[in-house]
Amino acid sequence: MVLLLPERWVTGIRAVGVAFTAVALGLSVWALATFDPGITGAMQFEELHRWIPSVNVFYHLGVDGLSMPLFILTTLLSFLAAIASFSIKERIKEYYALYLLLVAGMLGVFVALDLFLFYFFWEIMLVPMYFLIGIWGGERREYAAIKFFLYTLLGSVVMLLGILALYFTAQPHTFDMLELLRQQGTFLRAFQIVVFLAFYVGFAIKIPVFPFHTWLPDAHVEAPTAISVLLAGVLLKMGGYGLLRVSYPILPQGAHWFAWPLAILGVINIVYGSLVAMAQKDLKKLIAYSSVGHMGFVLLGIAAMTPTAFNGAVMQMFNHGIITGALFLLVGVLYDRAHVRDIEAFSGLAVRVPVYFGIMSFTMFASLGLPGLAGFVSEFLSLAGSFPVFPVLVIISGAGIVITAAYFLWTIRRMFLGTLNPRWENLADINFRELVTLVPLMVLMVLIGVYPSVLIKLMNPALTELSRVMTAIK
Amino acid sequence: MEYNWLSLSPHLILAGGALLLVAAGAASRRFAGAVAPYFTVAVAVAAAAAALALGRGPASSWFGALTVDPFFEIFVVIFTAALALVALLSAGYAPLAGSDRPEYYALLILVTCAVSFMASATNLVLIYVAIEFSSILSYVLVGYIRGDRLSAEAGVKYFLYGAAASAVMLLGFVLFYGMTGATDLATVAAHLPRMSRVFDTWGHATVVAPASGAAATLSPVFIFLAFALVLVGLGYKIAAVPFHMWAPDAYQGAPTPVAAFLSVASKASGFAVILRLVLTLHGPLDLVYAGWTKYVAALAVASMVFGVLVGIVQTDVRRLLAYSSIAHAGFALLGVVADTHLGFASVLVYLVLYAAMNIGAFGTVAVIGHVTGSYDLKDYGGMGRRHPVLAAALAVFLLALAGIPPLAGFFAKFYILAALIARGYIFLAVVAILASVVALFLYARVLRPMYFSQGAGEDLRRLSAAAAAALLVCFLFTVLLGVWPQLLVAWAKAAVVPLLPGI
Repeated sequence: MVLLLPERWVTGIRAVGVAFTAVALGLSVWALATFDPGITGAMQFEELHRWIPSVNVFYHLGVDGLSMPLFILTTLLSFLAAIASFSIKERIKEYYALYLLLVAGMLGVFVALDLFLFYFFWEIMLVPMYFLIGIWGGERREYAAIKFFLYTLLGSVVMLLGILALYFTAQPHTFDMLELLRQQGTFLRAFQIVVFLAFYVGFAIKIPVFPFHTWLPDAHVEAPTAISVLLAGVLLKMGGYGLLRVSYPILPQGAHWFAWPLAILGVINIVYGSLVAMAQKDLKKLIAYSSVGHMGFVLLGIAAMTPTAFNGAVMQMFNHGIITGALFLLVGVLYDRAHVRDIEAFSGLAVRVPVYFGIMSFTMFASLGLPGLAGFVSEFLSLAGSFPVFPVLVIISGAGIVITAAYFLWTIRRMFLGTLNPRWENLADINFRELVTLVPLMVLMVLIGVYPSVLIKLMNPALTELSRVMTAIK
Repeated sequence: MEYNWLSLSPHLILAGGALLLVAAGAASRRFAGAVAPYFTVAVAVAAAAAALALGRGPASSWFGALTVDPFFEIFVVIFTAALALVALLSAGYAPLAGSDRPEYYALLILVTCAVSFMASATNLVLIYVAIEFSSILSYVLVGYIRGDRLSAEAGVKYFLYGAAASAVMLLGFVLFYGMTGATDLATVAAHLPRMSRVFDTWGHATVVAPASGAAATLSPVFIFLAFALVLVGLGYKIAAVPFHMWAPDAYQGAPTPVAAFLSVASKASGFAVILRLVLTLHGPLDLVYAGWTKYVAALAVASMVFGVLVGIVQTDVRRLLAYSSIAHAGFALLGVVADTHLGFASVLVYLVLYAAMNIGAFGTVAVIGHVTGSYDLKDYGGMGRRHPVLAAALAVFLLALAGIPPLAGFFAKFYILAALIARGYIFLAVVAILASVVALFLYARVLRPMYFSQGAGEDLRRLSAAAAAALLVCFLFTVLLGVWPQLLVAWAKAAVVPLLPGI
């Protein structure tokens, strides 16, 4: 926000943008270091101030094992995407100002403990996103921007009604999530179901769950690279986070009622997303639809409510953030040079750009769930945790994994193998700055793939507790 | 019955200021013309200060004809703020340059005086006179640009609709008088059959018992009819569908600062009378037909839906904002529908926040029209590059009107929705939020050319410092009140609670 000060000082503006996100990253790492995952049932780094006392609104922040990984993910990706944004060449000042506003909103969502504040941050993101896609996006940017804006606004206003319904049902009236959590036993089952559905519309559009997913391919494809990264890496996680943070603990009976539909929708996401991805010609669109499929695993895990499945779901959110974030960065790298994203337009690139080929294949392997890399662990946990609850659905979603593997391998073959298309004789390989943005993500993919406990230790206590509470209520 | 000159002081300051300005204009046109905008601001500040000072004290009245209380105070602050901001915006407004300047400002001050009477009047005759007073002055202001056909046409149209509406309203007042033999609202309310109601803090009403049967012979239909007729006149004043037809033409034809004033102060004055009537005549209305709010709800829904949908196809920014203001009137009416402390307070909060953002929006459009010479959406192309500050200001005001946090419009809508949900009016709340989502599309029609397309256009004139100051004030309030509405909410509650029977 301080960014509005410097004028046409390009390097300076970039430096400030990166510096702010770096500070945020640094602070979040410090928070991570001092975070004690063992504490359940209480928030850490809690902040509580009166804001609008007449309507009982508080400025209430805090993190626990559920929000911590996603918080770190946000600061990490926004730092890397700020570096990747150097390829933005026009209206840089506005770009970074909106970018930082967007990041502020995203971080706020993950730490807000007051529903009013949560909604506040949730909506604050829409405006910068609208402009970021609409001004710096691709050819059909205006359409994509307004579609994104209207879709998500519709979802969030329905959620607002749910928030207000909770507020007036609670005695005393409150927006505080922890207080509502204590009162959840007093909410009637029918009420819980209705409010759950209201929240669900808001969250499902963000995730996105079939059939609310149609904004996603448009927004992802038209958005500039860094924004695609944040869209896929962070925004999509807000829906899953919202379900686990708000809907589940506060409306457990609604959640139980909706578990089956949610699981089925998850499987539809997995299978349908993968099938549609296979049919895509545009590389960015392919990755966008692969996101739909990957988020299906999150839904399935959330619906199953076992500790393993919860861990798998949250981990899948984190992993999808780093993997798909990396994929969008890679597409951006190629697009900056070739100015096309058509898979058909490329062939035999492996010879020309070996390093790029290596990283792209590596990331795609991670995305399709190759054992040893991050994607495998979380998909496995999510499926393994869901199997006792939804055995048939888990078997069906196995098909999704096969299709995912198929289209990623097919894409690698089409783009990088075979004879080199002479058009790309002079294609330059990935440069140092781009490597800087990608290497940390690759390191994480390997680290989590080989030693998933780093993440699990962080979130397991909180998620096990949530699972225990959920099963106890049924 | 007592009188207290002090309680008239806000009105007297305004009336005196206007006369002084006319006198000064007769003495030295050049001098009066030059200082008029700033003198107007000074008068507005003085009147607001007087109202605030009075509002702090106990409610006082003038032979029962008018009442000075916190409710009045909040409206006078809206009116005088609108007056000051519009005066500053008018200072650099080109089409007015050739017209008689001191008189223009004197008229603005007098309209403010008239609408202040509307907010304080508690007597049917005084209410009617105040409404007519403000309407007639408004017709003149709308048609103020000499030799401009659009402006003249707008003035005439506004006048014709206004005359019809006020005649209908007068019939309603007459019915009230005929039924009760009284013109002051307190006596009218006492003579009509009434029920006392008890409210809890959040407005859940419990009907206790019919209190007196003093006028039990009256046919309840008349009470309802009287109220409905009055509502027609006030629906015209606040530009609610189906009494809105004048608004787009008037806003388009009027000098744009005047349109800003009408869309805020005039609308708020209509709400002042509606609230005053509803709050005072609550008992009789409920006895006649507890579902009277349904009719207000119908007006509200029609205004929101119609305003938004028709607004989308407009190509003149002033007309687009006119339809947006129709939709906003509908949204604010929902607070009346809620019919609780919370609901009435939410209307007051809405009007204050709406004043900041809508004067800002109209003001920016006026300034852009002044700088580029056009109000057509086509000519807004590339505004984000040509005039980054103006474009950003307009974007903020429009997003505020759309109800995006952290801007003022969000809290305004939020509070109304809260009042609806508290009463369990889920259907109305759903309609309201759907209308707001579509409204976003309406405002995006202005945002899109400004930021997403290129456009060529040359600057005709520079932005005046006075207008810039006015926009800055609107901007600050739009942002600050959106982030921190606490004081406003407390103020609105304090204004409403004493007026309702019960706790």
